[in-house]
Amino acid sequence: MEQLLQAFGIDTKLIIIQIINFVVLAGALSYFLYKPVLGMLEKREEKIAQGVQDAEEAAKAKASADEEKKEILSAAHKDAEEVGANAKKYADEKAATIVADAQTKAEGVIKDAEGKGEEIKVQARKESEAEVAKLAVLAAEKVLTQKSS
Amino acid sequence: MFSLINTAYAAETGGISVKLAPYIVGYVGGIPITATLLTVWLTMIVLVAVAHFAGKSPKMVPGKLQSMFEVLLGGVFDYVAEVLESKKLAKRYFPIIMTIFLFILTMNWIGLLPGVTSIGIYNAYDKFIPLLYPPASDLNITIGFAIVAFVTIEVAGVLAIGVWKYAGKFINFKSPLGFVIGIIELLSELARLISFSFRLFGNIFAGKTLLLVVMFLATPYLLPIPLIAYEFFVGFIQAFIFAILTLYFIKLATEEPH
Repeated sequence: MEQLLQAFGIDTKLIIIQIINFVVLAGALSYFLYKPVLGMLEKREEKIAQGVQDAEEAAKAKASADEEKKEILSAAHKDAEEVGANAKKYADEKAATIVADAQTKAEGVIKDAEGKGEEIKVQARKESEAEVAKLAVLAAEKVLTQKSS
Repeated sequence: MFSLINTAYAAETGGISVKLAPYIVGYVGGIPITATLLTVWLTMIVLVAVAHFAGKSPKMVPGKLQSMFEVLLGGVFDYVAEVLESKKLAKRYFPIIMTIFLFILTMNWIGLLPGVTSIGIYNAYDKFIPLLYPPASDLNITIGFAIVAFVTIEVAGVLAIGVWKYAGKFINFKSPLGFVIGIIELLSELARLISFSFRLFGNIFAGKTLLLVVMFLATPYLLPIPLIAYEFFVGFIQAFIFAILTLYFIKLATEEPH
């Protein structure tokens, strides 16, 4: 056994040094390589998961926004129709009243004019009657004076 | 004292010398500093430097180096989590499994670079001692890895199902058959230490020896090229096997006994 160990050059000190070497290297690689690289991989994974979640949420938000848009549009259409109908109704009513007013006014004017015309007629007749009477008096006077002279 | 030698030339002039024990470059406070240990330290420096650049300031939109490590680390992490069926456990054992893989892979590949085994010094006896040598061809290094894996597996078992239940997997008196099976389990558990360390050692040592033999026996110019390419593949496979076996044994250890 002694000879075998010697042939292979086995030395416990060297074995212990090699174990220490391994521990040192494992520590150094963990610190310099494994931790930062695996940490970065984990971080990236989290970021990607976050990104996917965000995208899903955004899609959901978009869908609900579309829905809302549709609702708002249809409500607006309905409102617009109502407003239009109301406006038409009002305009029709207004037009009817205006026409009616105009008619009564026109009738009034016509009546007034007729009244005035009649009045003028009566006046004219009165005046012409007075004129005729006057002329008749004058003519009589003339006849009388001719007869007397 | 410092010199460069041509491995093939040295092999031709001096014959092949295959040594199982690591080359000792010097002693610091009674601790032998081997060429394989120096290569391990070089590997650590390279890995920490690359890790520092790759993980310095990770960005949301990654650059090339960061992407590469994200794919590697993320893929392995997901796989570990899938096998252990828990993200919490994956977070606990991932650093060990990943470090086993990266450490062994880089170590094996650095061991294949030109200059490793051929840059060295001559010692007092005028013998050539390389400064860098494939680390997994040193049993001390692979035993170190095996102990790390073994301790991790056992600790994982104890943490997951408790000391008594876990010990009950190996020593129980429910029935004579259960007792025998428990003992077999215990032996196979201990055998892992040996299989872990010798598998890696054997493969890399064999690769190194194969390259040396090819350079010595055949032409040292063209034939070694596909073999070196193959050794890169072996270096990867061994790192992969070591890491994946550690993972599966952790999984086995954390299961409740039937």
